[in-house]
Amino acid sequence: MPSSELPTHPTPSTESVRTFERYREIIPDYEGFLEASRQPLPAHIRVNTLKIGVEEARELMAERGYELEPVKGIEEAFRLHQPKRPGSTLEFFLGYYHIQGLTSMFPAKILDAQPGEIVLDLCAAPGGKATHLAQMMKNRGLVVANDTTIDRIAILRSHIDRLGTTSLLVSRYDGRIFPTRILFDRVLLDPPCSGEGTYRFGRTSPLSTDPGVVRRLAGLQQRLLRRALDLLRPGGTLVYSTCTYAPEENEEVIHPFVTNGEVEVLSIDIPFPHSPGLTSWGEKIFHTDLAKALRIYPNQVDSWGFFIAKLRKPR
Amino acid sequence: MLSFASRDEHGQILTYFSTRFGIPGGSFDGFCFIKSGNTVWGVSGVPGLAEILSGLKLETAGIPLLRMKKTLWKPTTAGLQSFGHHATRNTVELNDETLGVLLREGFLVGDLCLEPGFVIMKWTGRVLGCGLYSKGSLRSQVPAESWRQIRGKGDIQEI
Repeated sequence: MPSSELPTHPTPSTESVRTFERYREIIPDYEGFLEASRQPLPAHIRVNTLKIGVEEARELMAERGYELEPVKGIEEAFRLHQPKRPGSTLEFFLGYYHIQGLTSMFPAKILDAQPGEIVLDLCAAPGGKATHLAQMMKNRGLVVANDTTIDRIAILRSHIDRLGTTSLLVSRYDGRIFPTRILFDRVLLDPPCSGEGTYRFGRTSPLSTDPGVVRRLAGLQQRLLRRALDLLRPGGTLVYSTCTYAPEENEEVIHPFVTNGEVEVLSIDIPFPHSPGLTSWGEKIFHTDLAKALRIYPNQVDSWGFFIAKLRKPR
Repeated sequence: MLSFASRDEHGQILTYFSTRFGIPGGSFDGFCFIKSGNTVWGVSGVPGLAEILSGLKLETAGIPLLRMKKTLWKPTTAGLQSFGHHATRNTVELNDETLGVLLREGFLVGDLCLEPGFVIMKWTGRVLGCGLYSKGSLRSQVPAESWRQIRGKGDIQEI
């Protein structure tokens, strides 16, 4: 069922409510958060400026009866009210736009890769962020998009062909042992996570209802971050992002690398409401610089919930 | 295994696009041709590409441009969507009506002023992808899954 057709006021499952209850103290306006999570997820698209200008795309789609609403703060982003099946249009087939959650566009924007640079997206499939990076670099750099599973890579490949991202190279390594023969100017690490931020009531409960899953994911994320930092050139920047709220998968993963001086946390400037990263969670204390990371909840930006940190490796 | 096309192969690829579609060689300036099996890929020619190609085991690079079989070279829809707007011949312009027929029937019959073989299908000036013109009939060579998606209920106006 398309997200746009979700019932507007589904009953939250007891399990889901219990999962989020532990965030009552850290999520601003918790009741507002629950209410936002009951609403259907809005559809957003990113105009693929490798193939068409933003204004030309807007005019073409308006002529064809699309109902588009610009997103203030990201020129290429639009909220899409019509059509209901944006993956079945000629414009989609032509590669004029990509269907992408609004907050999913933030990591590439924040990484801010430049033409001529060599960038790694370590866990790239299905490819929304990697193709966005290639777009931002105007196809005049190189993005190595890595992922492990063939099925997910097949989806990534179909997006590359449709969007015309000639600067994207696809590899299939286990990210934890990605070869360190090449150092990258920038790295995006968007590792597998428990996906709490993609949850809207009425859907299946988030993975984090099982605390064991969060523990296993946190271990994987830490090993991926270890390797991602090994692949980053001195002075290079890395964006770590997840679509989950669990501090165990976010601040706690990054904290040891900040504490031992391997990375510094950079401030992030985005024109969207957000909350700072956590500096404590229960009895755990995190490095104070982790407050420079972002937490985004659906009652702040009506999209997926996200955690994003921007890190720099000292020279 | 991906490797750069040889100088000769590079020239043959440019000649193919120039001869068949009138796409000038200069349209590919700034791009490299990379081969794997019978596929030619078009990749942004950026410093560092050679090091990555030799340092990493890549699955694919850039977008596919051509499938090369012994005597038959077939351009891809992805490649034509990116470079086909430079073409001056063997292109067929479709409007909503003729595209609707092609989507519904799977072929379009008529004298379309095309040489037999692979052609570039356009819709209102925008490159849709690869078609095959043979015996007065045009058939889509767009990957089946993509074609199915845009076919919808056979009405291209439905969005």
